[in-house]
Amino acid sequence: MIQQQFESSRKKWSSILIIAILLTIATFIINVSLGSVSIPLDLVLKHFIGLTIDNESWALILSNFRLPKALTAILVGSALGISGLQMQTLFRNALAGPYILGISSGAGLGVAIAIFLGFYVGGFLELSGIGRSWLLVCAAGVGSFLILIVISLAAIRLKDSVTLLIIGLMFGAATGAIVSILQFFSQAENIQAYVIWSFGSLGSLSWSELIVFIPIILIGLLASLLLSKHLNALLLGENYASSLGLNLKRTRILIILNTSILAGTVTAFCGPIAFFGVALPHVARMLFNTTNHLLLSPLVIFMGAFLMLVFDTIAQLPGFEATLPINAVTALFGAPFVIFILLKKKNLNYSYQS
Amino acid sequence: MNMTKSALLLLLSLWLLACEKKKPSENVDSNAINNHSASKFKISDNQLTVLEPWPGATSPKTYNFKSSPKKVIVTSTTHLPYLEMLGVGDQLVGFPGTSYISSEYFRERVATGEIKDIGNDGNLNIELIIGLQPDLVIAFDMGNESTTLDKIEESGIPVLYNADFLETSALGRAEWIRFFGALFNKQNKADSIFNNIAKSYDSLKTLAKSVSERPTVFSGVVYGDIWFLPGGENSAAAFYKDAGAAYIWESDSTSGWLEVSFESVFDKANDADYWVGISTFNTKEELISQDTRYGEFDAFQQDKIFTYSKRINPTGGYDYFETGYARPDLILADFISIFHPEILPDYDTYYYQKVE
Repeated sequence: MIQQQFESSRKKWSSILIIAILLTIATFIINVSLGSVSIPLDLVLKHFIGLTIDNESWALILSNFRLPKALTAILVGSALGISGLQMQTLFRNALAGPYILGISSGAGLGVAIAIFLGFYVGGFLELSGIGRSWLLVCAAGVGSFLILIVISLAAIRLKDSVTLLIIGLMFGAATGAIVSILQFFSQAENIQAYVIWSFGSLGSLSWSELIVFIPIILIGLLASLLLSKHLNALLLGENYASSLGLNLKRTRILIILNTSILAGTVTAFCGPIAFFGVALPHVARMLFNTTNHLLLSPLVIFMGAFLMLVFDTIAQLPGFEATLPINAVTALFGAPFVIFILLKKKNLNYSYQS
Repeated sequence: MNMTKSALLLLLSLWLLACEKKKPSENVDSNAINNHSASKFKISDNQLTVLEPWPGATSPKTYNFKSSPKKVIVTSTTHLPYLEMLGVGDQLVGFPGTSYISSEYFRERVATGEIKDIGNDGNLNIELIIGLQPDLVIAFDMGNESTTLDKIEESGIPVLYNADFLETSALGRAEWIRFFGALFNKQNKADSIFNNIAKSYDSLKTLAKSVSERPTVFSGVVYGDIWFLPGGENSAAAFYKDAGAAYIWESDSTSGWLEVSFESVFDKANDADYWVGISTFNTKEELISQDTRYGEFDAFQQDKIFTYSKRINPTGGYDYFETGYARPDLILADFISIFHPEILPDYDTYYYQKVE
């Protein structure tokens, strides 16, 4: 009987996964064909199957603006979704997300230092030949990496995941304070630059950055799939997991590393994209009533890609010259969704009860 | 009963007060000196009226002066050129964020300690200001700094709101030198400086009117996902027009700034002839290292990018943002020599230079 149930749930899972993949492909096409500049759909399709289209600037817009942005949206959505899932399981907390350990605060601090002290650093960077677009990426990367090291050290020392969570929150508070002090002593234009960074942006990556961004995220996603089995064991409770022969400390550090690399890279390149990573795992669990990460992980990856493409399409305000910041859109459309789930499920602890 | 009575009395006295306040300004109107293009201030005998002291202000602010101030504080680098041009720079005793000053004259006075730093911009340090004992603080309020300024006023130091940034025309903004002139008893000097600027602006404009072809132009860079562009009614757009160029967003009716997506700007401006004003970028290499897509613009490939980086001070400040507003004639001349070098063959640009 158990076998039968497993079979039927597997079928349901494959059909949902296939739907998610198809939806992702469809929204991908919609996403690249909509934007401030209206380009007829047949020309968009023509361009992407390799035919040349007459309007040269449209061809450039499609391959240099819309394609990179859509690819970024896909990767950002999957990366944030999967790291949120991992953090929720690791901390057995429905409110955990990719940034719970202070990754985005660390990145934010790095960026704040780079922007507010930018003038002093700028000269050095020009000498070393690092381009401007890499300045913020490197600053955010270094910031989140430092936080990651401290958290990992704490993870080695501590037995308890909740303590780790609190340490992460403390880091967030402390770095936030330093950022506000820096802001206080900064010029208006620098504060504006920082605020714009904190809005998040999917469209500012060009191919030269994507060459680095794509492989890192793909490796992170692959590692996440491989970690699924460990996550399942963790879900049974830490004591139970270690009795199953799982090296708890090593698993915890691997998960933290994986999440930090995914969330840290996303934050470094696109700014902190809030909310998404917290909400998405709940949506996936609700759609497919399972806590099995072997099934959940691929689902979260594709649903993340699909939803981020949808949000980005909304943010583009097709037909208008202006755009909305992606962060506003994810929270604006994501929050009602989560409220809906909460009202429907009444209780989210289901996923963590062993 | 008693309550209503006193409330009525209060209302009545307020109304009387309001009436009394109105009267003198009506009288003054008759002998007010007319402005050329500025619309936010009014000069009359011993009285300066700022009509819209901050964005969205509903009532004007009036400042009565008996004698010209000996020790002043100004709060924006854009106020500095007026003092220097009028020859009253030695009366400046404090400035917030002295490292942003471009003017050599004022930098020297900062170095010798005659001008004290009174806090970072936006965060005026009240104790330092009071300690300097100025006769007057000339400030600006974008709409949220008023609490600090109110405190300065409470301490007995008069605060004068400079609203030059609310002027919609470049000449209107430059005319604020007359506001400073009235304050420092240098009316004639201020009038003649402004009249010369206005005259040279107008004659340059007439020169550029005769051009047969108007090259297309756009400006700015992208921040995050948003490209900020001056609206069609913005004073920046007026410069392009007066210099004989066709601004791509000319037909737009916004007087502020447009927030446009990168692909939209690329669609409209990728074949534009000129690209002017690229924020804090100083070289083509810097542009391309920020975003390789900048390289796809025709103006980039044909070396037709110009920016206001010719005069940068040792700490990285752009003189353009300090003295530019006071000298619209120089900006216009720069633009004309960029768009139509044949009109001003011997002219050497003041603020702008080609981006290499």
